Amino acid sequence: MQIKLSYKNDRAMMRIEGFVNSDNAALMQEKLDEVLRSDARYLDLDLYDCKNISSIGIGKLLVFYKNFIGKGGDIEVLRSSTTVYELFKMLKLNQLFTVNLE
Amino acid sequence: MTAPVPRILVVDDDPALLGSLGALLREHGCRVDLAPNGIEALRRNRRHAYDILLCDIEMPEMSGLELVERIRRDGQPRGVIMMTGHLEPEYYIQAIRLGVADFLCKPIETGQLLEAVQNAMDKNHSVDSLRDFLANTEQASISCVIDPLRFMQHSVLRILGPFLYRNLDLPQDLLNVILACSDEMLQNAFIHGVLGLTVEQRGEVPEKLNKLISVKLQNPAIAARRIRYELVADHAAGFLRICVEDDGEGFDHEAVLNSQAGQDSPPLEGHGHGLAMLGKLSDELLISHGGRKIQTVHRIQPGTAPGP
Repeated sequence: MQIKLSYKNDRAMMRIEGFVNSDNAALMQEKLDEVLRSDARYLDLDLYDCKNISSIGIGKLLVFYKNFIGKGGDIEVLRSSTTVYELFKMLKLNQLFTVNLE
Repeated sequence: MTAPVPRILVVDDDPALLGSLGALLREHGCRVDLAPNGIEALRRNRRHAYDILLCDIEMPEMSGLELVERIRRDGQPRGVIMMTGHLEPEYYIQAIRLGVADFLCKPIETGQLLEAVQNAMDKNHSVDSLRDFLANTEQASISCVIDPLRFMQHSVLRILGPFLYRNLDLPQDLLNVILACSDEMLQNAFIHGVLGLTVEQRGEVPEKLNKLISVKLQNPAIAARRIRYELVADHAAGFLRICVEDDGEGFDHEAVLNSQAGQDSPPLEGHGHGLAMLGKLSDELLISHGGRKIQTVHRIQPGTAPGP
């Protein structure tokens, strides 16, 4: 799995490629913690090349989400792979934030 | 060189070295393609099946290790030999994790190169033999019993992934699904089944979570629990089945009950995500023994060996 994180003004852009699983979910959490500590108010997620996110990864994303909106932030998934899009829809995460297929 | 003729992809950003390695290997009966960088190597790898990747570690834009990691996602090639001027310990560890077969220090000696290629081909051949055996038996299974005290020390996924990749001739997509389901089921068996961690505890930062886990494992009753994993490939019937069973509290019962009652937890509650994911990734999801035994079934074409 690879994660690329960049910032522009008050927006953070995170691109995740590969699989988020029990081995590397902690790395994703590190990056999310970095966003939380930053001045970013918006997190744009690019999950187009993300092939799957395990429940551990989902859990970490939700913990981040709760903390991020607590400080006035918001998330949007700009684009996602079909698998991740359907997974987020099934888990009703699209009720929390916008999830785009592409 | 002994038969069959190896097909080798050589990758190095030094054009002189690239050319001379290519010429040398061709002189010794290999079929060789050359790539001056990782991007070109990926392009070639998508078009041909190579037996061996011979690759420099240090290259601009995309290092040899990054190249191997990306190529591995596509399931190719089987034998990887890395070349380097000096081998840093961190490169070595990462390379081993990526299943690199051999290392050659520059300047490359002809004898060492040819021996490394032959060894890689021999290894490929023995993997093929096992794959043929598994693929041509009516049913094959892999099972193990996992001690929770060792679960955190050894990533089951990293052990299982290369093993399945090398020994089961599965299409890469199916292998990815098998690994994702195995990871999900084993993690839940460990975190919820064996350790009995709550949703809140599972959401803790890694340092705090690891401490929680260490404390839990000091309880002899918890440390005595075991996780059983089994993967069955039934070629005749046309399915793959993964089964995980734990001696503890089993899968998230609340999520199971809610799911059966048609009530989904609010998305932020954290219940049922793993179950939902397994349902999505498998053709059939079976839960029994009060949630302690979970099975996923994945259909493959019946009557033929799985794989391309």
